[in-house]
Amino acid sequence: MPLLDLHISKSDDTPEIISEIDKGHLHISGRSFPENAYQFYIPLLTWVKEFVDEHPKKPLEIQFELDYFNSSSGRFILEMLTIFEQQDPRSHYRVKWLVDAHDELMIEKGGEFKSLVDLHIEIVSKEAGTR
Amino acid sequence: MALPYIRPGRNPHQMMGSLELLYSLYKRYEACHPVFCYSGPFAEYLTGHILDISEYSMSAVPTQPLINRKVSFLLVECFQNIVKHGLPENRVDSETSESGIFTFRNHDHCFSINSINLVVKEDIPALSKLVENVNSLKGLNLKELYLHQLENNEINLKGGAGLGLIELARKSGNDLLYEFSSVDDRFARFHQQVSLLHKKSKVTSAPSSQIEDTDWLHTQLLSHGIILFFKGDLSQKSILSILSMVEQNMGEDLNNGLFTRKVGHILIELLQNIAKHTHDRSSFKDGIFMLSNDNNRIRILAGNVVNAASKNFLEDKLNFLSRMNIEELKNLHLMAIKASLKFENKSKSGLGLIEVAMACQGRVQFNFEELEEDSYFFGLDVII
Repeated sequence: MPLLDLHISKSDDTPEIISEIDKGHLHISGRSFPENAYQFYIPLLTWVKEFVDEHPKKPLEIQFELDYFNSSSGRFILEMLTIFEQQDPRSHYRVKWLVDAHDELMIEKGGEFKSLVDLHIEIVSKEAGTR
Repeated sequence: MALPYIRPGRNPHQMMGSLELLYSLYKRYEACHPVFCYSGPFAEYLTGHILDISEYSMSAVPTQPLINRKVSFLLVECFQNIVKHGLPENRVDSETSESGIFTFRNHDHCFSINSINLVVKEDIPALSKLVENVNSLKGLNLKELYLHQLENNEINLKGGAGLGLIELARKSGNDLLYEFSSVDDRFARFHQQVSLLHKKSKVTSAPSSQIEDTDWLHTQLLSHGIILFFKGDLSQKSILSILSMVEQNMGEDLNNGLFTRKVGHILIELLQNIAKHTHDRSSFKDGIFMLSNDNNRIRILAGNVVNAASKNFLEDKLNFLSRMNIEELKNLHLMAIKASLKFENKSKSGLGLIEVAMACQGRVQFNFEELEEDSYFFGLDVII
């Protein structure tokens, strides 16, 4: 059975996750501080692994639009980015890290992921253009 | 009827340090599960959050569902009474202006709700007469008074006719305790207590008065600028209710809510860490938490009981972090998050305290107090 799109609705402590395989989009938005980040992120990590296996040549734009996230969520976001980083060619995967222009915390978080994984990561101000 | 006794004003006291206060509150309320206290502007929107905190924290305590329903009713009625009848801040001159207090606690099979709000001294005789009248009636008589007030349309502009007080007495099944204390020539504090005994209670006498204790607590919270204090089960649901309350209380700051968001980030990280490291002495994640807001300078204090192994781990880690500047903290975080991918236990990231230290730029203090063998109180104080 082909891989289906992922749709996880947002809750008070978890983000909304929507994929559009046809369009090559994966969008993660909201706040992320579940009590058990492992339990929450497992379906996303499984989906990502199946996506890169099933569509090895398909480009994907991963958009993050997070207000904030807790440290254990950060660990799983990094694990997901690492899966894309390990693919050949990794240039098929582009990350857009959307932030409010003055949100230093989230700008810093985006910068941190940028320095940790060898992927094209753009930190984009929601109000203006790329930083 | 004789005029009610009005206690004189408060005496000056020696101010405790913040971590000292946290520990003293922990000890003072050790047997209470939970204690909640709000000392800020009273507004209608807070009702839902207070109700949520009560429901989530009481769900960790074995009671009958009927008691929990009554508790919810009494909380809403009490809080809305203050919102309706408390003096609006603009009616209180700046010298007198002080936040009231709304607090509830569950202790020894008794749930008590205490509040303090300012009233104009000239209103004291009428208010006392109303409470005394309600207390003098029981059962059917109270119901009759309720119907009489309802039918005779003795309702003032704020929608009250003493109906709230009658309902509190009917539902709680206990006298309403009250007292006034003098603030100055014009104003007094109105102290009120509503108590509900659990069915399991072996106490046959009337519930004990917490009015003096609430007065002490009010003084402490005001002198430290504390608007929220909670001791109880720090489950994720309780944390979420606390977060919503803090976010709404801070509102949209000058920076489009970004400061509020930053506070939320640290609050979550801190409380989840406290809950995670709690020494399992009971079935729930008992913790203590306080928040003060002084001109958008936020201070968060949180604490719990840890065992010796956790104490050593936390002490070493916090001492290590306290020696680092912000750049060193950032580098450490980079290394730690990368290393966390290799942990066998995927639920553990080891990043929480580093995040907190980074987000508040190292303004973290902590202490440990020995409680008993292999048991320590751990307090953490963060300034944002």
